Amino acid sequence: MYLFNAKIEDPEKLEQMLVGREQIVNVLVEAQLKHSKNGLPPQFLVVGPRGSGKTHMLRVIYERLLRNGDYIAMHDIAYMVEDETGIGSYFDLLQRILEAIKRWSNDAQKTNYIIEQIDKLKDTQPKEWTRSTENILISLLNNKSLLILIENFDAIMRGMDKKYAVMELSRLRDFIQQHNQLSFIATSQSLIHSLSDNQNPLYGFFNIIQLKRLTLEESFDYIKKIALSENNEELVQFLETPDGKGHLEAIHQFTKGNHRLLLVFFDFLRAEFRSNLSDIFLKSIDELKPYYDSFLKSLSPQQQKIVQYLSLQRNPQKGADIGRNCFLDKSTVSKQLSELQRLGFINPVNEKGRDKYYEISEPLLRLCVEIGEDRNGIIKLFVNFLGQLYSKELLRAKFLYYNYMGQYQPEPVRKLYQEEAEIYSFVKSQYLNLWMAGEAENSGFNMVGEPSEIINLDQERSYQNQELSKFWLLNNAFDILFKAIENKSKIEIEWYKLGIEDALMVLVNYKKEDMVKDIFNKLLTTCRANNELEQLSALFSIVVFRIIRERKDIKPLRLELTGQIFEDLFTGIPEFSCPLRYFDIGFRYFVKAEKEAIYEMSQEERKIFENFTNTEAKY
Amino acid sequence: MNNDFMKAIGTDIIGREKEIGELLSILDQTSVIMSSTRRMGKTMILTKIGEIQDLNVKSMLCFVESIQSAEEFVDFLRENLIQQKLIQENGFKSLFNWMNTNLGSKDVGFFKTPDFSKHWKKALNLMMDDLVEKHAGLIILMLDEFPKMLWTMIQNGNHQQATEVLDELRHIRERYEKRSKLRFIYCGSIGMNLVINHLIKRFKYNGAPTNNMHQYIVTEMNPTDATQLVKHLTKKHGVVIDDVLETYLANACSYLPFFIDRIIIQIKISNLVFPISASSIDETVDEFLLGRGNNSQFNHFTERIDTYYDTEEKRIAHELLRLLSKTNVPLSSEALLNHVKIKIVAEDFEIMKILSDLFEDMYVDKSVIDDSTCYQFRFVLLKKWWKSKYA
Repeated sequence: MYLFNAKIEDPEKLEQMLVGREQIVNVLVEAQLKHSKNGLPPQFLVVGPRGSGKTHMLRVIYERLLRNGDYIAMHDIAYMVEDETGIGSYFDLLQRILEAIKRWSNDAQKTNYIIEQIDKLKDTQPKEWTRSTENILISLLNNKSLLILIENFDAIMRGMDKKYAVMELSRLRDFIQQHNQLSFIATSQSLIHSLSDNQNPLYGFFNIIQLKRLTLEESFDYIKKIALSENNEELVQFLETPDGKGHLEAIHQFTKGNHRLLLVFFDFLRAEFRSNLSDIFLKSIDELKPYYDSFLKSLSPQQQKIVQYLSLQRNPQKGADIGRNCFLDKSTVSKQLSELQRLGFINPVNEKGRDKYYEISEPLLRLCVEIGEDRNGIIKLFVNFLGQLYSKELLRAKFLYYNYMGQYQPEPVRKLYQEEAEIYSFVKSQYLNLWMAGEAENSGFNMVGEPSEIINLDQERSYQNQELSKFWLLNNAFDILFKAIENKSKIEIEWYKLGIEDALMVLVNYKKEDMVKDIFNKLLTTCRANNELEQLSALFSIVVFRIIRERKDIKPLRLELTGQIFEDLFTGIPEFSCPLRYFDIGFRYFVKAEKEAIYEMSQEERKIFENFTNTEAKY
Repeated sequence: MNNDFMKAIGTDIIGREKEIGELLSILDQTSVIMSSTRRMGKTMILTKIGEIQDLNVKSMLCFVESIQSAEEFVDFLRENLIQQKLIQENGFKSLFNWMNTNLGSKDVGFFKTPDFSKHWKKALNLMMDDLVEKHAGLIILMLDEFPKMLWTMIQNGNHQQATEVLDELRHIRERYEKRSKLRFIYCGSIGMNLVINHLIKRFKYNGAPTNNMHQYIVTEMNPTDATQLVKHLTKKHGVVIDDVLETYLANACSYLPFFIDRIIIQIKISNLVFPISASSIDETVDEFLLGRGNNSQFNHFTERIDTYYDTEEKRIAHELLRLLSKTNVPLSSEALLNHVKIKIVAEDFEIMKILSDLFEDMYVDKSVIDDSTCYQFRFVLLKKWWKSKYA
């Protein structure tokens, strides 16, 4: 098990692993260092979901400031990163602040002072406790300022008795403003709804920083840094390969760039990176189950019921349907949905629609429940599909990048680009020339259509001839591919398959369905015989997405016939269930304008759909 | 005299010299009610005045929002006068003499006992006597969120005490404003007039506790100060930006210090790889104003209408603001009247009254263009926000 605990990890490693959060930490630390005693002290609230690196950030801030002699000469720090439970009032908060100063201080005199004063306080009247504790704190600080690093501020605010919360928070604000010595860096798992209420004393008080999820590049950097910190050279090298990047892109998709979840995946990636991605995935989910279970337990039974229901449905559900299936009345379901949304468990999919659809916000939480029900279900196929899909896209993107960008580079960089492109291609093969023709003349190549659509007869004739000759060449290309598959020449297969994408597109546009079907069938048989079905499925997926992207250039009838061919050939083959599903939904959504079809997909499926069809689906 | 005051003020809070100069001139003559909507930076102004501590001027800033009773208020003032070194504990000579004679003790623990409710007025007056006795120069006592303190008392069923505090402070002001320089600033985001009107309407209060005070409204910063603040904060946070963009940023934030501070931090956090441009500033402002989780920045403007305008007024106000948020040019009052009357049955004078209220409450600005009075949103930021939320 890979162990990483921000509370106990050594400071150097924490700095090293601060991926995607460096700038925020810099801002927070600088705000402390550059804050002048006469100005208003900086107050920050960092908002990010579980596992987004908040504890890590606070610890780095603490360590950096602690090492700064000038800062420490003028400041005390109350480092409150334990689970601060049992804070029900402003007085409780003050007490905990004193406790935290005591816990982290090396100054025996200070510690003794706190113990003595709190003992004295026990003998005073309750109505004096708060003011007296304020006075203890102020005299303890003795003109120094105090930085309070505190986690889960949302839970503390929730813990305050609603009836008195406004008054308690007013006192907190008055105290902070009155003495100008207290600065907060607080964290919260979700936006604190009450802070947007202008009657709340802390409205506008905090400078709120919302943590963004890690980007793909940052996730990659993070995993690579962990691998490097373990001197795992083999894994680092694997991560640089198309397969490694494909794996990581799929993992990123599911974890949404969440630090903690990436760590769990890293653990299995490290041990079994050459295995099937779905094996790594299923093991990670098993590891995560107790983690998510503990959060589910914090919910009320009604909320748990809703989360359970949405997890098992996979795709977004209407509020009314959730109510009906969970046996909750309209007002209860509406209240619980809004509370779950505030807590970050669920998201509305369509912000503006009258009938809101909801789904579980973290795909992995949903999958923990889903996989518990059906371990070998669609998700396993989907994970492998994702891994394959991204590998192909990466290879293709790499070739295109070097090949096309090379043209715009000055010498000698251009040469380097061209050489790099050659690594990714069979430049000398007749087949690649054809492929390139397809890429370069993208519009002409794909806009085959029916001959009757072409007005200029000469152009039509030459176009038809061109297409026929291309088809003939492509037929040969397929033959080369089949041979390559039979010869098990891995590199050749990769590259022929990439080129085949265009060939398949030509087939889609080609009028003679029988021939098209024959070639697809032959491809299927060859790949099946050579255990290449998953690879073909990924390739087929790219074609499916391309058909969807270029649907306007393909006649509806041909689209329908293509769909029919796909269905005839691939139905019932598990490896093809994902692309077939995408074709079906894409066809209904875009061609038949069935707008609700989009809601049949889960969040991660939708993301792929949007990415690969270049479409921001309008909900 | 103002120049001397200004020298005493530190330089850590940028700008507002003009406003502070005006306030000090007024305070030389009388006490002040300072008000503004939220996020104009009034607390910063008070903090800056609070820095003035010399032989001629002593000031004390107290945050009183959470105070719940008159007794607590008096005790709080006593503690703060000592903590902020305007007077030493043993400096309360009149107070202690009186306590010794009448209560047989000088123990200030008495302030926390139930019996103190009968004596808080006396104690407050004696404390002020002692304070004035100690300082010959101008003494400024600033009570931030004072209207809210009174409002809390009223909400807790203690309206009687709220009126007594107001009356007692008036007596104190009257007593000292003639023969010395004790001045108060009542400051708040909800207006004193709202609190007093509520006391008059609801509890038949017939006092005029603030009519001898000067009303001072804090608005946005002037462009020079706002640009100066941008310069200071960008330097502080290591954000590289040229003079033209400094001015642009100040303007994009409607010269509101709160937003300038927030936007510069957001720019820094977003770690812009490319040089900062006008469009990247606009994007950051939009994200901060309209992005997920950020759409409550101007809720107080909506709530002000919802709370203090009656049903019909609310509809008219929303209609006017909706239209103004959608247009890029100032609209004449005639155009606005016509627009509203298409949608709502209302007389011209009713609509004009709402326009005037919206002007007073700083939603809109007016100017004369081609002989017509024209209106537009006062703050570009508020306009954007209003458009995204209601238009």
